Amino acid sequence: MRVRIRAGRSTMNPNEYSSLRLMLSAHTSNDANFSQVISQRDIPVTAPATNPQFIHFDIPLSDIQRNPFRKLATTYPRRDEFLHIQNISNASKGDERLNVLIDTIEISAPFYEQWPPKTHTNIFVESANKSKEEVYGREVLNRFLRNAWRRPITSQEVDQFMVLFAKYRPGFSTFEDAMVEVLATALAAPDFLYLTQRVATDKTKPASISELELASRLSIFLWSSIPDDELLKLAEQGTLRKPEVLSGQVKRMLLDPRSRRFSQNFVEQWLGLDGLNSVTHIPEPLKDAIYEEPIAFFEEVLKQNRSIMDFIHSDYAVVNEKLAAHYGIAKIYGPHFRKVPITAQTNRGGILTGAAILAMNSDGHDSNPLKRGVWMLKRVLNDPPPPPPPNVPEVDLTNPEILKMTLKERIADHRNKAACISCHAKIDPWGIAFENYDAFGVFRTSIKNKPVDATSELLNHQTLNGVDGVKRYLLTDRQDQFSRAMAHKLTAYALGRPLSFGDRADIDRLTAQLRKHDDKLGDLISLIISSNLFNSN
Amino acid sequence: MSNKSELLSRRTYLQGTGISLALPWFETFAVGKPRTDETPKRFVSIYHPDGVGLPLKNDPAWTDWSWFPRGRDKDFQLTKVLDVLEPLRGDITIYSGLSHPVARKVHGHSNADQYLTGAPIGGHGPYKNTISLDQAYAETIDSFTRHSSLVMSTNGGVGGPRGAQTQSFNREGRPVPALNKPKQIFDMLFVTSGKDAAGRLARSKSALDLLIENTRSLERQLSKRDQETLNQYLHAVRDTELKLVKAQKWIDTPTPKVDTRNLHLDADPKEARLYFQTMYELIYLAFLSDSTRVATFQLGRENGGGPHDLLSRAVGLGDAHHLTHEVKKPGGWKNLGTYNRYQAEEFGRFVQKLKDTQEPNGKGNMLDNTFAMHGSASSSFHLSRNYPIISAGGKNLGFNNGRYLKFGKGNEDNQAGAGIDTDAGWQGKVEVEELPLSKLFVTILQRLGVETNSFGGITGSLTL
Repeated sequence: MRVRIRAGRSTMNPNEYSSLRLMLSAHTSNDANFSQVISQRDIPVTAPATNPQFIHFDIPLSDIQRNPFRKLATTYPRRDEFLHIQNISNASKGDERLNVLIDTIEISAPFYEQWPPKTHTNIFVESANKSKEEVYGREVLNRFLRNAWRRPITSQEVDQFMVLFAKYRPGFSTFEDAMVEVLATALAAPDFLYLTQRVATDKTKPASISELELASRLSIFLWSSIPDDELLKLAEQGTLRKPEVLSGQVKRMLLDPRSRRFSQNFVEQWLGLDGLNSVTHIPEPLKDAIYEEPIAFFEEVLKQNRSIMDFIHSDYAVVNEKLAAHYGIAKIYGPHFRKVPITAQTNRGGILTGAAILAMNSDGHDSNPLKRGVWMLKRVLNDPPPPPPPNVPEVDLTNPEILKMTLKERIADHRNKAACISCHAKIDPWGIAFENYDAFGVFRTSIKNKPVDATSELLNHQTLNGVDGVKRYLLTDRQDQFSRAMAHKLTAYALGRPLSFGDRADIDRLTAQLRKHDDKLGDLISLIISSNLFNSN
Repeated sequence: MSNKSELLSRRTYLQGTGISLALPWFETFAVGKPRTDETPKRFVSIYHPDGVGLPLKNDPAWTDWSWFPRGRDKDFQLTKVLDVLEPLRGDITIYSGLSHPVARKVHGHSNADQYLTGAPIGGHGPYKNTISLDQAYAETIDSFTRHSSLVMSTNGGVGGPRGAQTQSFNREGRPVPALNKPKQIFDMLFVTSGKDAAGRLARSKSALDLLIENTRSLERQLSKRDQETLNQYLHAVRDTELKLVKAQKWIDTPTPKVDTRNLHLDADPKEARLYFQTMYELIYLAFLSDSTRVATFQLGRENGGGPHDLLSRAVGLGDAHHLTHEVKKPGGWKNLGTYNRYQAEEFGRFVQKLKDTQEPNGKGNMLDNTFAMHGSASSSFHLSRNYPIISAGGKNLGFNNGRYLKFGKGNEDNQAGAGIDTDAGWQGKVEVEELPLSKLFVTILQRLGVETNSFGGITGSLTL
C-alpha cells in the first residue's frame, strides 16, 4: 500500500518540528480494539504550507496485522480498518502554534513499483527461454545458487537440483510454484547456512581464504548479508584482494544503507544492549531513544573516522529531542539523532554515561554498582571477572545492622567476607564510581538527602573519583588496554567466532597498528579486513 | 523490527552457537523427542464466553442462581446452576480465587485470548500473545498421535486480536485456527486420504537426499574444525529423517474406524443441543481413537453477534450474550443461571462418557487419564477476575476430586464485583487477593509429565 500525502507547515519556527506517522487500527469487539504503528519511521514535514511537499509511505500489507474480519459477509464484528495519520510534533501552545496542513491524501493498494515485483523478477529473470522449462530452470538455478551460495556453480550442482525439480514438477500447476520448493532446498544446504572454507589443495602455500570466501566474510561483517553482484564479480575475477580495490569496496560497503546493520548488531553485542529488553522501569518512547543512542554514537564515530577514545569520553553527545530532554540538553528538536556539543555540566560524553548502560545495570529502582562494575570489566576492559562461587552467602537483609548501612557500606561489608573479597575488590570500585547516576541514568548529587559518595579505590590503590575520575584514569593509564579490547571485540565480530589464545599475537599486532593510526575506528575496520586473521582459515 | 531479529538470529547462527536446520516444509510433521509410550495423558479445555451469574447475597436470586458453590473443600453444596453435576460430584473440582494478574483490569470482552496463555495482551494498542497451555503440552507429546491437537470453536478461524475465536496459541503466540464444522472435523480425523501429505513427504525425502549428497561432497573439502560444525548439521538432517519416518508411519496407518451413531455432522449452532453434543462427541472419538491427546473448544467469541449466541436456544432462551446484560430484569439471574446450567450439563455428559469408557490401551477409565477443564475468563459482568473454573478427572495424573478449592483472600463469599451490570466492575480497583491462574497451569503441566516450574511468566505451582 502506498499512502501519499501533500503537507506543509503553517509556521516555520526552527524550534518546532512536525513529522507524520501512520497507524492502523480496528475494533475487533465493541470494547476492544488493536492499533499499531505501521510506518517504519516518522517523516518530517519541512516545507511551508504555501509550497507543500509530498510525503509517501510504502507499507507492505502482508507484514502488518490487519482486521481479520474485513472480508466477512456480515456486518458484525466490524469489518472496517482505520488508517490514522498522526502529527508527531513538539509544537507549543498559543496562537502561532505550528500546524500541519494537508490538502491531498492518496491511498493506493495494492501498490507495486513494478509488476511483477522486483523480488520476483530477481529470481524469475527475464529470458528468451521462459517457455522451455528445462533450459529456463537451469538459468534460474544458476543465478539463484550463485547468489545464495556466493560462488560460481558447477553444472553438476545445477543437475542435482534439476533432478529435484523434475520430481516436484508434476505436483504443481505452475513452473514457479515447483521451482520455489526447489530453491527452498538450496537455502537449507550448508553452502548457504555456513561460511564455508575449503581446504587448500596446494599445501605449499599459506592457508588463506579464497577471494570468494573473502567476499562472503566482508558482506557478512559489514552488511550482515550475502555479497552483491559487484563483490562476487570482483572475487570471480580475482581482483578483490588488490589493496586499492579492497579499500574502495570497504568504503562503498560502509556507505551502503546495509552497513547500518553492522553498527546495530555490533553495538548490541558489544555493549549487551539486550539487557535493556528486561528493563521495565523506563517507559517505551524514552527507552527506544536510550537504546538507539550508543548505536547512533557509534555511527557518528565511524562516519567521521574518529578515535575510539571518544567512546570513553567526548565533548559531544549524539541525541534526539527525547534523550536531550532526559539529559537536560536544551533546544534539541525532533526525533532524529544528531551530534551536539556538550559541556562538563552535562555530565555526559562517550558511552559509559549513556542511559542505556546505566539503566540496564540497575535493579529497576536504584543503581547496581556490582552489575555496573562487571559490565565495565567485561565490555570495556575485556577483563571479565570469574563467575561467583557456588557457596556465596546472601546479604542478610533481616539483620538490622546491615539495614542501617548505606549501599556502599553494605557492599564493603559483603566484600570483607573471605569467599568474596578476591573478586569484589576487582569489581566493586568500577561500579561505585558510577553512583552519581540513578536507575534512569539521571545525574544526581544526593541519595536520600545524603551527598553521593562515588569515590573508590582500585586494587592497585588508584583512586577513582566518580565517573570523571574513571574517564581520566582510562584515558591516562589504560588506553592500550581499551584499544586492545576494541580490536579484540571487533575482530571476534568480524570472524563470527570467539577468539582463542592462539589469536593473541594477531590481536597484539592489530592493537599496535591501531594505536599508530590514532585509534581511528574506520582505520580499525580496514586493519581487521587486511589482517592475517581475517584472511586465513 | 521483525527484520532486525532475523538478521540477529542469522548472526548468532554464524557464530555457531545455535545450529538448527530449518526445513520449512516439515512444519506439519513436527514430532517431539521419541520416548516410550504409556497410557495416554490427555488435556481438554472448554471455554465459555460471558462468565457466569453472581447475584449479591441480599438478592433473592442468590440462593439458587449464584454460580459458585457454598462451603469449601469436600464439604460444599452446589446451587441450581451446577446441580446437574451432582452425580459426578466425586469426579469434579471447582475453583475460585484464580485469575491472570495482568488481565484483572482489562474488559472481559478482550480476555478470551489470554485465558489459556496468561499473556499481558491488554485492551488496546499493539497485540502480542504467547503459547497456550494446551499447545505447551501438545508440543511435548505430538509424536504419539496423528494430530498434535484438536482445536475447535463455535465460530471457527482465529477471530481478531482481543476477539479470539480460538483458545490455542502456538509457541510464537500466533493463534491456531479453530474448526467449527462437525463434518470437516470428522473428515480430518477419520476420513482424510493423506494424498497431499504423501506428496509433501515424497518431496521432503528427495530434498533430504539431495542435501545429504551435497553435504558429503562438501565434507571432504573441509578442515577438521569445520567438519565438526558440519556434523551438527548432519545431526539435524538425521533428526529430520526420523521425523519423515514417523510422518510416513501416519500416512501408512489407516484412519481409525469409529462409531458414528451419536454424530450429527450437519448440525449447526442453531440446533444448539445437537451441535453442542456432536462437537463433544468428536472430542470423545478423537480421544478414544488416540488421534490426539489435546483438545480445546471455545463456545463462541466474547460479546455476542456470532453463531454461539444461538446456543442458549437449547434451553428456550434468547441471545446468550444478552442474558448477561439482562440480569437485573425480572428472571434475569435465573435465565443466565439456566444457560450456565445447560453448559455444565453438556460438560457433565461428556465427562460421564469418558468415565464410562474403559481406557482402550491402559489403566482405568478414560476420565482417569484426562484432565478436563471448563471455564471462562470473567466471573461477573465483564469482570476479568475470579474465573469460574471446573475441572474433572485426572485421577491417574494425581488429581483428587470431589472438592471446592478456594484460593486467595478477602472474597470468601465470591461477592467482589457481584451483582453488577455496569462497567464500574471491571474498571474498579482490585480489592481482594487472588492467585495467578498460571500456577494451576504449572500444576497441570507437571502432572501431564512436562518438566517445568513456570508458565506465562508466573513461577510456582498450586498445592492441590
